Amino acid sequence: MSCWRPGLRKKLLPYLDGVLTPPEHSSVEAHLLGCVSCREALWRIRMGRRMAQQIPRVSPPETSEAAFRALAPRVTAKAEDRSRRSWSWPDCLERFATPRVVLILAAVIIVQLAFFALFSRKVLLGERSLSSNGISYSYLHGFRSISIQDIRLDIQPHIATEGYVKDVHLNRSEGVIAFRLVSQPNAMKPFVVCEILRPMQLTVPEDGSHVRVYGVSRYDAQRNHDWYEVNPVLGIAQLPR
Amino acid sequence: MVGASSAYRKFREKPDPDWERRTVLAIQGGELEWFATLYDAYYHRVYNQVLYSIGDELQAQDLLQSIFLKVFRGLRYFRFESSLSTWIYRIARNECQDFSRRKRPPLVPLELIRGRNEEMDSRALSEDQHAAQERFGIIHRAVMQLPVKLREVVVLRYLEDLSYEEIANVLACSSGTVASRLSRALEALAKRLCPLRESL
Repeated sequence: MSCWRPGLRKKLLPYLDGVLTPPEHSSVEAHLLGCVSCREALWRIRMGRRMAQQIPRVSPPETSEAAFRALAPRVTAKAEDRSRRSWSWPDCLERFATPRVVLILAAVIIVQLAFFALFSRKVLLGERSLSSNGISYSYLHGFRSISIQDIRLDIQPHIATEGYVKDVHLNRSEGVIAFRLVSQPNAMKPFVVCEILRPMQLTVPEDGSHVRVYGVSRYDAQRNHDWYEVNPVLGIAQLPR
Repeated sequence: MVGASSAYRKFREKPDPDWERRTVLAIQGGELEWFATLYDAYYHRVYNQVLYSIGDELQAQDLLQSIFLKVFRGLRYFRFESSLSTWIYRIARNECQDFSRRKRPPLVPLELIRGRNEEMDSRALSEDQHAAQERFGIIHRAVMQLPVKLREVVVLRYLEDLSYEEIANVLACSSGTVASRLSRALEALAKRLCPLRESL
């Protein structure tokens, strides 16, 4: 017959040893009255305990004096070695590399890696050209991400928007490189015109490439224009196609 | 080594935290001769823990030396966050575990070939002594047949007289786990030694 309260089984020995609290003691005692299986287990544990109390202590083949004589030169050598180089690397490691310190260091490293992974995820995942443009990602981090079709709703000037490059155009006299950014590779609309001004040393993206553009958004209301622009473009990141 | 045996005797009866503290502070202060006293006080206890853990006298003797060397090395940084005995038992336990992991080829204990010292003694044993020795041999073998995890709690509890909390400290587990392992070990011992129970 098996016990219906297996949790009490592990309290049988503490019960025999008298180390249970009074409520636990009473609860085990009450259970024993109605549980044959636990009474049998208690009997076995009591028998086992009687036998365990007779486990023989084995005498070592050597006396402790003789054994220590063999160890003493190593202990003395260790002590002399220690006094010679009390602040060596192994010594410092031994002193400070406690489990607690190692755990704390590991936790700090993990948190730093997590931050690195979080903030540089986009760079790692494809924004390879960002650093080559000489613009740090942290500088562009505050730019608001927005889709091309929603730029008209934007009220924040610094934006980041993604799309495909079309019609790259170089105006040598004004020193401006302009291109359209469309949301789908084969669509012409919606689009936004992006302008790279002369002082910016940006790599001009290839036609059809998938990029994220960082810059200042504005509406161009000149004659024959009537579109939204990212002008000036401050950064271009290549994305996977 | 003056007074070492009396220190050990006192220790066997009741571990004395004051004695431990004074000894450790003296060693930390560079008085190496105190290490001999400490060694003597723990020599038999750690030897038994190691022997019951790995089951080989010669290896136990070797292991004992490396354990005490580690104790000596670590004593400088001992800050009394646990009792000295718990700390030493923990070092011994880790050494035994490392030893078992290294998986050296099993050695045939010399005593199996030549017999134990007691068996080699030429003087004749009385009938009672002979019966007691046989009984100890049977209990010893029954303990050695337990899995290591159960064996170590039995040895620490019934040979070294540690409390559940102290054993939990040595083994880095909870007191509940200690109680549960002990119960299993004792039940297993009772089953193995059932035929002996009348004589016990």
